[in-house]
Amino acid sequence: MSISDTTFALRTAQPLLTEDAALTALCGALEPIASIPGFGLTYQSAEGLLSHVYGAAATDQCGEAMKFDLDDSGSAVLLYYREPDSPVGKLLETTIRSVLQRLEVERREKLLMDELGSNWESLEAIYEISADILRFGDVKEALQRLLNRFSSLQEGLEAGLFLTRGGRLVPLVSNKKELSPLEWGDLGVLERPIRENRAIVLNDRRAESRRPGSAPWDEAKRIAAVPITARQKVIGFLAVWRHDQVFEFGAPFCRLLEAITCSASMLLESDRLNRTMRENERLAQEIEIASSIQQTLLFGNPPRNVQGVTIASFSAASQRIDGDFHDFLKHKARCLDVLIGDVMGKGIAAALLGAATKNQFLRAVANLAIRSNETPSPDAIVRRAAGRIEDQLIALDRFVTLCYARFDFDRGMLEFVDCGHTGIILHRKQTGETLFLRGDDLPIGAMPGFTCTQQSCLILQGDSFLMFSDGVTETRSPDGEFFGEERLLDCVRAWSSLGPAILLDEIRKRTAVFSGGQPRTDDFTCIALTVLLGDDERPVARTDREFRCDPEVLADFREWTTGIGATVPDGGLDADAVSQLELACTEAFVNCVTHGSDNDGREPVHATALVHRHYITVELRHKGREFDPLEIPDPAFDGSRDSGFGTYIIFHLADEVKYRRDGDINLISISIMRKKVP
Amino acid sequence: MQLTIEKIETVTVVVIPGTTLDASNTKGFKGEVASLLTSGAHVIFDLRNLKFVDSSGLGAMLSSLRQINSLGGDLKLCAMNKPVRALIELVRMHRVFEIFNTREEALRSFGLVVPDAAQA
Repeated sequence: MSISDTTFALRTAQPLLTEDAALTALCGALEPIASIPGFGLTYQSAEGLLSHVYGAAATDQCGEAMKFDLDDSGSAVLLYYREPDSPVGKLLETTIRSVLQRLEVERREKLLMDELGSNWESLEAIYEISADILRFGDVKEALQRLLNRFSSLQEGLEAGLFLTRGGRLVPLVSNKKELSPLEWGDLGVLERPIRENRAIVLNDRRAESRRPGSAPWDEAKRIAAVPITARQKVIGFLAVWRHDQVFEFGAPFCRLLEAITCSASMLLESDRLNRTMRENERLAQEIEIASSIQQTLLFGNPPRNVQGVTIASFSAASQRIDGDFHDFLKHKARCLDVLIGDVMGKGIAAALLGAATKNQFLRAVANLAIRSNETPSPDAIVRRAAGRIEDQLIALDRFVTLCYARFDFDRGMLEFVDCGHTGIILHRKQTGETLFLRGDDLPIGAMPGFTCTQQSCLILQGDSFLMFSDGVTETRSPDGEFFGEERLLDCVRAWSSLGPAILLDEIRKRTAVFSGGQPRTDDFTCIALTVLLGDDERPVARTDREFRCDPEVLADFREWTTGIGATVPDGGLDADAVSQLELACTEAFVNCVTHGSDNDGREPVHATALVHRHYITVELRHKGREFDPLEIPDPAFDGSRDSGFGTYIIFHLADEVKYRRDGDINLISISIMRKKVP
Repeated sequence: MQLTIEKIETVTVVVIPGTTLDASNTKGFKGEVASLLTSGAHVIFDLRNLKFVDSSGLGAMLSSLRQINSLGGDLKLCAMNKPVRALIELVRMHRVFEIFNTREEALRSFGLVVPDAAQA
């Protein structure tokens, strides 16, 4: 048998038929044909066979050629024999076709099984590696471990993980020698795919493209690289390379490389989050320290024993630390200074500056008082304190806004200096007006050469004052809108008749609702003072009456309320006061009927009118269900609801309202100034 | 409560009797108004007699406005005294009701040609 008698050859671009096993199978199938006299069969590696066949064709030693295309990828069988029309030739051709088809099926099955096996191995490897690296606290150590474990899967594999830092690519870990930082341009063929967040695999690099350069893989025969991403951005890449051609970087290997890169991304991101968390913990600690500074050094407690005045204050620290501060200084029984301020900036530095500023004010008051033996004026105090801190504030590039106010209730005078702070809201019951009292001085430290001007305003009975930090008006809604001054003025109008504590509580609740429950971003400070109508005064007249708890008696009840003033010898109430008292008391009486009664009106309403020098108080007592007017929602001002107006009317008309529950008795008292200031 | 009702062309003018509209008489008032409700009615409440209205009375007027509007009609108020006006403004209902100083102005707002009371 000679190869020149009957020759077949296999030529393929795919590896399936270059393997001896496949060639053996094919030749085995051809054995019966080859045993026919005149034909012979030999086989060897496909490479040798092909060169032999082509050599024979070139010297025209072979007969006609037949080519069998296996598929579109170019796999083919080339068959030569000397007699073109020989029946044996036809048989040979048919046999080869069927054998090749069977081989193709087997090849696909094998590929599928290999892939399934590789995937399973990859998953196993990743699981093992991930579980292992979790034990390492340091991300670099964990990544080194990850890379070592991965590269050990394929002998001779070199690997390096690079991260982008300051426009360069810095090696974080590698499995062999230490690597040097690279510029993007050093990546060569890897640059574009990495920048575009694509993986790249180069299996057979030609000799001419393997030139020495800065990158460790420049002379490698096989390279693969996968980008590392975090939050949709490429932050580095993992590259593997070989200087030999052992172990091709096939599909299963590439999938494993991608999975390992994904693990590395997760490790890096997890490390970043951990560091952020630690930073947040540090910040939380700072907030706690600053909050403690604020509570102990920056916020004073309001005095409780100022006769005829009720005072309340409320402070809440924000998530960020601001330099809000406030304090109260009582000079005489009914003379009180209130200082409220805010240092520009955040953090412990601002809190400490706030404490220092407050301290300078306390020292200024003491020093000036010793010198003059009199209570120093607010503007003198502000000037002295400002003189001591101004230079330091300018040097630190900070400034302080503040308002220093003196409430002298005996003189009936408010004197204040407002250095770029929020102003003071005054709600005057006697006129019904609500307005801002402001000064126009610059914050301390804003400009050299601080000056200030003292403002003043009368204090009348029933007046309510609100001092606040900008955190109140700058509370933001989820849409970013500010709570603003107008809403704050509305709060003061609506709730000041119920006293400072309830007013501040309502401001706090309403700003919280307005912000949609978001955490505060700014410190929140409010101080409210109300000059009482005169609790300690003895009434000049008193009348008592009992009414059936029934709307039918409303006409009687109103006649009684409007007649109260007539019993007073010195002229009673003016017309506006009578109208307001009539309407507010009617609403309170209807509340007794609507909300208070469980027993068909059998329990009477006890009404008491106390006429004082400047005001009248009507007190209604009624046994019934607990009814808290503060729980009633605001009415619908668009007219969509009929109810809810009663309580609103009482709060707005009365100069002072008190509600309490005494056993099973509801008690509401409504006070109105007898003479309204025109 | 017996309302005084005048029909002037297409407009029904309701004069509320008595000097008060409060929790003691709003139930009767609502019942009387309900009998006037027709589709597309043009109604004026003439409040000239009222000296006192409380939140119940205000609620009754709001309820009437909503019912009349829901039937495609309209309700306007006129001739209110100072305390009633003060209450309406306190609770901001002057933005909800159309309010006229005189009955003639209210009638004209419904498109009627009416001379001023002083000229008539």
